[in-house]
Amino acid sequence: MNSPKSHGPALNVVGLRKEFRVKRGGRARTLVAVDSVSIDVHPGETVALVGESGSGKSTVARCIVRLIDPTKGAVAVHGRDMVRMTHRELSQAYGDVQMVFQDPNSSLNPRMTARQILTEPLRLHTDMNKSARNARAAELLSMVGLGKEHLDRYPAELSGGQRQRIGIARAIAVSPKVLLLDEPTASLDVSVRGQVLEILHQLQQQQQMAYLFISHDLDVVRRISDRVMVMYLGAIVESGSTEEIFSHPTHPYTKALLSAVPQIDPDERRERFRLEGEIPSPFDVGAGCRLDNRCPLVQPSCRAERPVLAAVSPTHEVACPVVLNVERIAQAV
Amino acid sequence: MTANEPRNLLSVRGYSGGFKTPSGFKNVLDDVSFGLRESAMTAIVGETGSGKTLLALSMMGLTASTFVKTKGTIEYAGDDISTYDDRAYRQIRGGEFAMAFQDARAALNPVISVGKQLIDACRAHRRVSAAQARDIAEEMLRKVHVPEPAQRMRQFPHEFSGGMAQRVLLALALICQPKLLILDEPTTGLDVTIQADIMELIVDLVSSSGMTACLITHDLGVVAETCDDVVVMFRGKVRETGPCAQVLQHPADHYTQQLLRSSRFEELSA
Amino acid sequence: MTTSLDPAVETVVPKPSRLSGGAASVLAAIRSFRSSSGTLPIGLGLLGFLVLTSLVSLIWTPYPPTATATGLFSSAPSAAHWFGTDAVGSDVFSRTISAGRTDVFYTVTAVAIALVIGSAWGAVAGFFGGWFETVTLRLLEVVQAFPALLMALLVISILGPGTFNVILVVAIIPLPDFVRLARAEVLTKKTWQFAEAARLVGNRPLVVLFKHLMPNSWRPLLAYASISAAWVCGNIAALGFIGVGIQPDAVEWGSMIARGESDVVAGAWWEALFPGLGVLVLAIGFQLVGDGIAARNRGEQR
Repeated sequence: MNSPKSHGPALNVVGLRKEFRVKRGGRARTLVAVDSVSIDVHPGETVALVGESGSGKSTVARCIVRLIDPTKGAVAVHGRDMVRMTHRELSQAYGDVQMVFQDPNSSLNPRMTARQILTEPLRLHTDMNKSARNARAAELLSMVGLGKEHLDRYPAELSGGQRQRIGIARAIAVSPKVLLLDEPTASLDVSVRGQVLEILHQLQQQQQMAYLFISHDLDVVRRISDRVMVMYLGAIVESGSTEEIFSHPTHPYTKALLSAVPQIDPDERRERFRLEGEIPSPFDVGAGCRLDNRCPLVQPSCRAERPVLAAVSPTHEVACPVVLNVERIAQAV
Repeated sequence: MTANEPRNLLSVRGYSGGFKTPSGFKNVLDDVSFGLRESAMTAIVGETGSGKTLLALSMMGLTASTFVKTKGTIEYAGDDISTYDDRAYRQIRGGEFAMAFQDARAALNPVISVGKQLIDACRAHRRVSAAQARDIAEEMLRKVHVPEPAQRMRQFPHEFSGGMAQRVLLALALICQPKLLILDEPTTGLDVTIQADIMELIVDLVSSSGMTACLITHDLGVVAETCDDVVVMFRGKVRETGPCAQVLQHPADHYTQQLLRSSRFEELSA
Repeated sequence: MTTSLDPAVETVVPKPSRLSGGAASVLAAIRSFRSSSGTLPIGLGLLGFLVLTSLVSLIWTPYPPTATATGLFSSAPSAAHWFGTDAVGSDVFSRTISAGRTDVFYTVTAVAIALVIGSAWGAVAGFFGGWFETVTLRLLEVVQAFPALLMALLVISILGPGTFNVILVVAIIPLPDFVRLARAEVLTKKTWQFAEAARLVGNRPLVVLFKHLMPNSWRPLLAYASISAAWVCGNIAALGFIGVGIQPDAVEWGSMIARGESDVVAGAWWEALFPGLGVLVLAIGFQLVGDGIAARNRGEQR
């Protein structure tokens, strides 16, 4: 970790909650998509938010930038509260926090050239004149490994990897402090994935941006993040340094997730840790642990009370009293 | 090929072809040759545009009408099936060859119950009564670990999760006891835990039935964990073929090496 | 890849059509022609022809279109009067091509008004939702509950006759369709990532809507505009025919048909036929252009 913590976190999320009202069979029900999620990301640090579909990880990102409004909780970017901002204030705040989207095929306006896409944020957030904006657009392209010849191309004239680089260039155009990366490599081929990750790494080195990296790809997460938070059905079930999570996964869900990743090299393979069935509907979550019906370690107490995050080590937290007890005994011995 | 090696169920030799487009002929497959060993699981690996899906469709005789074969053969049971017309193909498709697709929910008919789709498929290729077909269908669902199969038979594809729909699609493919099962990215888009369950199921079903399987994928991890042989494709050409252990641990081809490096993130400086 | 795996599905034979073979194949040919983009040049050609004759009528007509007694009354087409003359001796050819100006102008203006106002209204309703959208949808239901011509009569009786009022009335009739279409377009596109990306760049919501979303939606709207123009010109002619809003002796196809209608029984078919053909060519031209644009949209989406 290379974060100067004295300046405080660049992104600070506390107790984020998002409810959706869903009409189902005539009556409205409340779906809790995100439940008391707290995240700190420091300048120059990459925190990965990991989970499967329906875990709420993308909803967290969308709440942070107020593409949707959170139901409860606080979001501060560089100490400024995002939740209470007006639309006008938000437009300005988008100079500090930006997002790279999952699918570069749909995140770029098909009727705008790379130049138009890249100069638009500059026009809105800086007082650069036209030639300065064009120069900056060319500079941005070179920062993501593209050339001037790509400036006047439309998205349809670029490959998937090139489009995603344009997406990254747009996000960093106004030098944000915080970058939300919503599965930025999920739709790319492996050979292109590496290039895009490398560009993101270089940019972070140069500009000390704070990255919140949302992904379901644990291989990628392991390579690029400093800390990992694992989400399941809207809540964080385990969080810790990348090293601790991958070498010493503690929560049953984390274990199941990590052991399911197929590995090329036989000595990297883990023994499968199996959960029953599939992720249930978020409507069917009881009062206790969200994993109660799938977990092989389930105890009667698990169904009574919802577990909260508790420390395994100073940098490692897990929301499972059952494994926590085992850990404590192991540490005591 | 020596005599004591197990024989190939299907051999593709020098297969080339492409599409007629308004701007001229576009070659997509270039001199592709490989064999599917009987009772083995062979992976065809490649990135976007490698031609791997087109190859699978060629084996199934399901290529679009704009596709033209320029040369080569696909040999199965002593015949070149690439010369078959649709009527002839229908004899082997479903009965002897079956295929599972990437987007299982889209591949199932949305307005017919899952049970009826299974029963219809069963009766189309096997001489059984309706009642027998129903029993076979239910048994098939049990085999692919769909919970409460009797109830699930009455449901429609949209009531199934992506993972469950893929299981149904497998049941549909296997109900006619095919000799060859082609799987086109069967777990792409599914979560990793579900992917692991489905791949385990596929390996179980294939090895217990002695079926030959061909897995189209871009994920070398999946290949390493589930397949016996591998065919590496790049821009319509076969770059390397061989047993998985050998190709993935000691790749001879430059592109295969590069693909493995990318998959292992070796080019990252961090 | 959505090819059905179900072997039962593959063997399904198309159901025999109830129509006889010949009629069915003609219909099928028309349908496949209409769904090809080849209709676009033909439609443009027809419209171009009408615009050209209208322009010519500005500088030259064989006789002044409003002049009466240019020859015999109700005389059949001849070398002197190509389309014949009507009951007061006006030259039908001169009147027909001059009337094209009125009808083409009324149609284009009315559709343009409906397109611009309807699209903007629908786009805003779809984008912001809330009470504005609810009120809009209820209002559309009320307006569309009236038969189109009945509504036109109602509005004209309130506003009184006059060029502008006629245009306004025929614009109001297709307006709800544009509102609905634009709303639907925006609803499907507002969750596209590029719309969210445009918001995150710092654009105001209205800028996101009109600069980023709508430019990606104009094709289906334009296709519909052209198809609705075919109806609009028919409605204009209908208003002229029943003499509402447009003066009975106006140089307008609908009024001309009304004037010549009574003479058709007496054998003077030319008085009503030629203005009728004008309406027909205008309507078919717009319809073909609309079909052509729609077919191109589908082609690009593939």
